[in-house]
Amino acid sequence: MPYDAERLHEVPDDPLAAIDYCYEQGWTDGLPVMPPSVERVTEMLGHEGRPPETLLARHPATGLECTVHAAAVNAVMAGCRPEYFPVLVAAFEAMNEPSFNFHGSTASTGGSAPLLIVSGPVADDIAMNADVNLFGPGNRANATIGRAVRLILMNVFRMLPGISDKSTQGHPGKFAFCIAERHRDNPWPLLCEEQGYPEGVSSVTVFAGGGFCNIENHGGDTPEQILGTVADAMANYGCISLGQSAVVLAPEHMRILARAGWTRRQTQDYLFAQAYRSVEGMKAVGKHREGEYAKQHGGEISYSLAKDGQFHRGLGPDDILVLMGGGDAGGHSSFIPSWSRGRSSLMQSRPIGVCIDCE
Amino acid sequence: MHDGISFEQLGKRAAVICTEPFEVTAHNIARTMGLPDYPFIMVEHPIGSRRADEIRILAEEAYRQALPILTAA
Repeated sequence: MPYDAERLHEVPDDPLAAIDYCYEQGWTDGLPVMPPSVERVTEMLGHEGRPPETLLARHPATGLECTVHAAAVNAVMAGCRPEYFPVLVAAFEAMNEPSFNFHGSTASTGGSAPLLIVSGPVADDIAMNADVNLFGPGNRANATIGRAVRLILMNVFRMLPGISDKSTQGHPGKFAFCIAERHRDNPWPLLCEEQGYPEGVSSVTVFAGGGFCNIENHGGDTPEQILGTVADAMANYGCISLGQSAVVLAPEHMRILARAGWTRRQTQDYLFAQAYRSVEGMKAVGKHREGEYAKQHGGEISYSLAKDGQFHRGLGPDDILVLMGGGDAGGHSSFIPSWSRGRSSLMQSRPIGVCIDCE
Repeated sequence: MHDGISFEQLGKRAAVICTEPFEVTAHNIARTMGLPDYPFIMVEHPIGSRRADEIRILAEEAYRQALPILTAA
């Protein structure tokens, strides 16, 4: 949508009437929105160094565009505080990468939602939750940044349920799907460090995530037992594909890995090797595709961990994003499958609030 | 729909096939791309889980609908 900062709407002073007005305009996700007053939008824009007309993302199918200004308006409506805005900006710049395919991942029957994972000091700076009830309610930053993503998809890119968003069932993350990586008691380097950003720079990773799968294991006490449970979830017939994976390990599970000295790389390798179904099994449920099997077992790249007769999840260990999150108590990790039957959307990351190698 | 209209805009004839649940979406894309009356072929849903003989019937139906689209002036 072209930048049009002058498009102002006159509404009564009564805040409830203004909320009703937003409903009447169809500017909501079903919940009440914060009316985007000029003052609040201006304050939001104050946390982005570039002009309001700067283009953040362009919808490849419709040509609709999201400017910094449009993002700020929707961030206000979602309830974001201004200091959250750089996370939202970075997330849409990441989603604008062609290989993320945010048209397909937001229009498809697959019903995915962009999962945002914030890693690094920004998460604490804006008081995000990386701890107990990680994916649940109660934290303003997690809830409203995630919600702002959906409002932008609906209000700016017009991804409207039933019209342009054809999700068969969708999932609750389509209201908000935003978490922080937990650094407290984390034995591994943070994602932002592994992604190669300079020290002190935070990142946001966007992943077109399908539904949420809880992985419960309170009895296992070895990495193989814990990760065997995770791999089983990743390889369930309903989810297995060439797509990428996001695995959020509960601290209780992570402690078992750490005690045995397992690294992220070792964990990814193990999960890739163990998250598979037999070709016969895939055929039995009607999901075997020879081309996908061949792609995983040869072709351009051959992965030694992909065994003959086994269809694994993803193309290789790097397709599995693993991080720690959640509260201290409970053997509950999670697996989030990627959107699509294949590799139609690949996760992306961007630094938050800084410009690295900018033109 | 986007691909079909893009082909047309490049001077190549195209016929888009969509299944019935996507009719609204197809019209929406056509409208967005400035060709609200762009004709397209519509067949029953689904495709992926059909037997070969069922697909043949759908293909024949699609062919019937495609002829006037592809031969229009």
